[in-house]
Amino acid sequence: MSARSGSGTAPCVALSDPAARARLRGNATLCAGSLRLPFRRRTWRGSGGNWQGAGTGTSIDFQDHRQYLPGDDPKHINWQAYARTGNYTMKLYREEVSPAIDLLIDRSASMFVHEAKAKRVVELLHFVVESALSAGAMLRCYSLRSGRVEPLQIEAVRTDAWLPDELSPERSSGERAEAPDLSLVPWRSNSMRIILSDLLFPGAPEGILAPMAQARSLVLVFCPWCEAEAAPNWLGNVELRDCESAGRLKLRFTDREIERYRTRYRQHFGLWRESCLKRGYVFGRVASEPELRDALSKEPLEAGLVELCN
Amino acid sequence: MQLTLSTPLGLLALLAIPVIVAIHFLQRRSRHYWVSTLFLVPEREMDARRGSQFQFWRSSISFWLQILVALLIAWMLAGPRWVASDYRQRVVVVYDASASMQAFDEAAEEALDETVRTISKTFSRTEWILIPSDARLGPLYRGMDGDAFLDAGRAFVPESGAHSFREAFRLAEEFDEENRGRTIFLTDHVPDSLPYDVELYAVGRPTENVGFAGLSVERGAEGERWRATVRNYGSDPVSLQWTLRVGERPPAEASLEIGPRSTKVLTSVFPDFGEGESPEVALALLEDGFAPDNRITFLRPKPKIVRHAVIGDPAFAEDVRPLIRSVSGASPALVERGAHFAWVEAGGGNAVSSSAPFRVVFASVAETPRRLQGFYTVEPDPLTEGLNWNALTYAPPDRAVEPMPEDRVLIWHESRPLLLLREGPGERALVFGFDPRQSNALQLPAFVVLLNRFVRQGEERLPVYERRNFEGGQSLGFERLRLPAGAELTYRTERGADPEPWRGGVVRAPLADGRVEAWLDGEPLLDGAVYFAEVREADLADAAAREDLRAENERMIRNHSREDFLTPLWLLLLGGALLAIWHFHSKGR
Repeated sequence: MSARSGSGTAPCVALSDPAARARLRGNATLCAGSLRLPFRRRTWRGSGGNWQGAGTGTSIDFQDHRQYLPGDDPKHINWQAYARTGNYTMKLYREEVSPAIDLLIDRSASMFVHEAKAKRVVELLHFVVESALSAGAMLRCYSLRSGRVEPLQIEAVRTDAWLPDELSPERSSGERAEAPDLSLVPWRSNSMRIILSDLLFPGAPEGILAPMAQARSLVLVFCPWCEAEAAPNWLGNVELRDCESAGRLKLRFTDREIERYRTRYRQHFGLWRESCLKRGYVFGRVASEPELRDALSKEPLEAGLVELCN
Repeated sequence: MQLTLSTPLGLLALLAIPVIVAIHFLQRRSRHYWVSTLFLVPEREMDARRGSQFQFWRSSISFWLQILVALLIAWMLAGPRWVASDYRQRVVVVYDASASMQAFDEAAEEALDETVRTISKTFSRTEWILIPSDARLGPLYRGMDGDAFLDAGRAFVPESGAHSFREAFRLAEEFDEENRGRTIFLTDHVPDSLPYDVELYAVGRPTENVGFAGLSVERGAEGERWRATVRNYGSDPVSLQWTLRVGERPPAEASLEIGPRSTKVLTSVFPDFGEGESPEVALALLEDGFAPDNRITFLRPKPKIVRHAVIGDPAFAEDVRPLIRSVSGASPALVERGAHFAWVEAGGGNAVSSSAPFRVVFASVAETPRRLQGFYTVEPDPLTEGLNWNALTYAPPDRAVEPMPEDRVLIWHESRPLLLLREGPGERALVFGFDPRQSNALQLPAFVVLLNRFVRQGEERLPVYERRNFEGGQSLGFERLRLPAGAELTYRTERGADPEPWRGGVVRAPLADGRVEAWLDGEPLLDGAVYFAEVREADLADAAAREDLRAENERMIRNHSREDFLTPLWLLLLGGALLAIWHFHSKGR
């Protein structure tokens, strides 16, 4: 007897349909027109682009003065200051750069065991990619599965070739996803580091998040979740099979035990939220049931995980 | 208010409870889920309830609701009804007093036990009345005590012969004048018909029986010969031993074979009994299920010694002597002293002179008889019943007999009284208004029969010693005796019992084998033996069992109680419980 994923249909069915994936991409693209990654949250360093850099550059945003040196462009001489002081001083303007974005997507089976969450994961990925590309960011993608970090081509992402070959839990690797080693990801300095993961692995968040810390980097944690995992209908006799390992439990749930599970579930993400806050990371949980825009407009927008477009 | 259940079988619905418990020992079939948060399941805090199909019973709301539903359904199916606390049902049991019931006394006792047990469960207050089917015996018990009722039933010995139950049923109906009770007929067969409101409780079963069916004693050339009939009422031939005991002599045994539903006759001549030896013969068969006919005891009869005397001229005496011998078997004396019967030649009219208690008086006429015109009118009387006098011819005397005020004219010839019956204290006389010698009366059967009847009736009335055999239940005849004024008659109907004084009324012989004795002023008056003669009671082939109590129980409950007034509440609870069960099951899914 095939097990339920909680949604009534196997996620592989929902994502294996190109038309369905196209709809998801469309949703994400539409959403990226009104919401975007929080680029205004800070200044960036990098190659020329459309975002204010930390250094001086050729943007029209005045930043500072300095003495005129031979060879400087006379266009930037501050003539008002010369009139007052008789000295030649130069205006310095903020540089405009393209931010570097490093995106790590969790491809473990838990991300795709529930249909709603699987779709939300695809939508979020497309949203992040579209938002990054629209901003002219220098995007690099990596995937994390079974403890291995592999780079992902943008094109593969855009064509959904990144989706795991084995979406059906029955054909999973049988290995439980260990807590990821984020140090394996070649994070760039001063980059926007985005993690797209449901964070459903045991272990304290502190140890997992530590490798991402870097003074000038902005860490964003997009955590998709669904009702099927937060408030499951396990009342009575159930057999639970872990989608990533061979783990099985035959149990009998009452209301009390389900409430206990929900409390542990909340506590788990509470720890993650706390850890992220301590480190200055931006953490937001993205619900899978509402429309993408509605889901991003709630906690992610409030947390600063996304921002409104101009 | 007393609670009773109109359909106790409805409680069988309680069998659903162990089924419900058994089901709750089973795990519901597990639903399978792929999950991503198995590490968050509080496995250790949960009871070990995994794997097997069976689990120890675990309390749940659904379980208790299902138990409640089973209880409510069982309760409503049992049909609870409420009886007013002061309601008292009356139960009349008519106990078949026929002797055949003795063969089923144990079954009858069990039937009464079950009756009390079953009916007492219906209503707490019951008035019990036990009456025998032979209404002459009177009620056996009336009261509220079921145990005393049963004791009265156990103590009752049915000994009656065949009799009508109508009077007993009528008496039972009188007890139940308000028609609120019930009447149960306890018997050993299924009657052809019963009153519509009488319930049948038959406890018999077809039973083989062999027993004595009759006795006769005849005087023959070799002496008095007795003949005892043995009958096999069963459908199989039997071979049995029987015992003969004569007087005080040692008993003798012999064997006897009788075919199915056949009779055999045991016969012999009474021996000469010694001085002081009881002239008693006893026959006995092997004991079987029906005891009354297994033994028969009888006596060598000794009829009453009745003396006849003729009063009149010698020619008269000579003429009537044959007549007297013919009707009485005795030779008349010419001396009246001590005579019981006096045959008197009257000198015409009413003149009689005799002190004998019984007299036959004939008119004396010297003429030649001739047929007279006119009709004979006969008054209804046991003496004249069925007798035809139309062929009588006689010579009428000059003066017809004149009836006295106390006389009854039994035969009229036109307006002439022809035969009077005169009765007075200590006397009884037939007064004929013609001379039998001057008539054809001596050749007329009616005349001889009439005189024979008169003599037999007189003999019955004579308090003279006799030895005879009685059929079971037969009247001992005390009520017919003409006792002297102030005389005391005592009697007993059981061997060895103390004699008791007779206070009038009919005294009957016991049903089966026994002895009866009577004394008049201390002098022996009667020595009798009793034998069982109710052959219809001895035939147990048609005995059967059937009982109709249960249906009547339900009718009584319905008629004298009302439905549980809380039924709407139970229905509401049932509906609510079913809805709650559906809700919990839906929630579980």
